[in-house]
Amino acid sequence: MAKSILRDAKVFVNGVDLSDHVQKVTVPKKADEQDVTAMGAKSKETLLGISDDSIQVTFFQDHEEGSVNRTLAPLQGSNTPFPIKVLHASGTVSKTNPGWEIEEAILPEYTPLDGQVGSAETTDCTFKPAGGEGCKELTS
Amino acid sequence: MAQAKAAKSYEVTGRQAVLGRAQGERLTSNDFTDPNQEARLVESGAITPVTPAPASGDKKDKESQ
Repeated sequence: MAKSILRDAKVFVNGVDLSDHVQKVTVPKKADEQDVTAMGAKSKETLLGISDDSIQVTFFQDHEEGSVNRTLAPLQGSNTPFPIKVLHASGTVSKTNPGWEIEEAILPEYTPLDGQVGSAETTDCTFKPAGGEGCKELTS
Repeated sequence: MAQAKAAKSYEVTGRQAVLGRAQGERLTSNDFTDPNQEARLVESGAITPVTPAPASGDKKDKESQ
C-alpha cells in the first residue's frame, strides 16, 4: 500500500457535503481503560470498558445559507440525532477508500465565532454518538 | 381508505450539496432519513420547499363554478 497524502476527504453532516470547508478531520477510536489490578499482581491489569468514539472536524467558518454555521447551529444542543459520515477520499467506499459513520450523532458543543484579527475563521467540532453502535467503519 | 401523502419537493439552494444533489437540483421528502433531517435542512437554508405549480385548468374550473 502506497503512502498517501490526505487531500480529498469528504465530510457529510446531516446529509450536507461540507468537505470544501474542512481543514482537518480526525476519527479517534477509543475505549475507556478500567484498572482491574488485584492483590498479588506484579503489573497493572487493564480491561477495556465502554467505547468512546467521536469524529472531530475543523471547519473554515461560513455563515451563508446551507453552509457551515447554518448547518451546525441547529444541531448543537439537541438530543435529536443526525448522521455524520467521513470518507478517506471521494469515490466509492472500499477497503482502500474507507469511511466512518456515526448514524446517530449529536453535537454537544459548537462555537459559531472563533478567531483573531487577520486569521482564518475556523470552528472545531466534536461529533459524539447519541448511542447505538458508535462510530462504524465503512469498507463497502 | 387513507390516501398516501404526497412527497414534498425541495430545491437545493445552498452552495453545499445535499444528499449528493448540487445547488439547483431537487429532492423530495422521501430522500430524507427522518423528518428532523428535513426540518433542519430547511432551517439552515440548504434546501427550500418548492411549491408545485397549479395544475392547468384549475383556474378555469373555479371560474366556471
